[in-house]
Amino acid sequence: MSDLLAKETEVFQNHHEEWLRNHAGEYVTIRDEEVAGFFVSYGDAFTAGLRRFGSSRNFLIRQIWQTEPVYFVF
Amino acid sequence: MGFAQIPWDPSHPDNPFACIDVLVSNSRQLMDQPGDLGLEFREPVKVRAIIDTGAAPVLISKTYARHCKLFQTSSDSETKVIGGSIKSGEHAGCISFPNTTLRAYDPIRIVSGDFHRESRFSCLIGTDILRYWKITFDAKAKLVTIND
Repeated sequence: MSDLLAKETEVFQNHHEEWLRNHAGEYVTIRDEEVAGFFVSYGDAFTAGLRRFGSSRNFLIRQIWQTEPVYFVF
Repeated sequence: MGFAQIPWDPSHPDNPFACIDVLVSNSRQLMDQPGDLGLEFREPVKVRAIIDTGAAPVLISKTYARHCKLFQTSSDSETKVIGGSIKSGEHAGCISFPNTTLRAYDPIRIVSGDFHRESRFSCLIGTDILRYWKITFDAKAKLVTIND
């Protein structure tokens, strides 16, 4: 479980600066090294991921921000 | 337009939080996917959720995320909470509100984490959903009214 989406996370990190220039705030969907696209909402990114990759394996959805968002809970 | 009313007495020690029942499951889109074998989908699970204006995502106990086999879309990472941080992952799922006419959110991002020392709820409804709601609290009637 600890390696789940590790490869996709690495792809995201490697392209983060480049994507930040043109896709800040958007969601990107990735499986292995393949990018399904950039989307304005998490729901759109998920729908596109299912269409492109199916559900046989997990795919990564990440929002592109300068810094990682911090969730303040409770 | 959906509607829900929930009783809430903030002065009662057993009922200090405004909570609503939610059903958590995988996204309908995922369950309707043709041709993918090996996925086992569970029935939606009903959990108690706190209405939390301080949180952005929907957050659910890791125990329930595992039980529902929610489709994970990010690796585990640190989420800051008051008093520390929790290990959390992100999932795509469906959140609906039984016995109300509030609309369901599907697919929606659900963050899983461990709720330490909290037995009264196992889910938080954050602003990802609250931004679609109008919430009023009648202190005399001790009633929270939600419209979406």
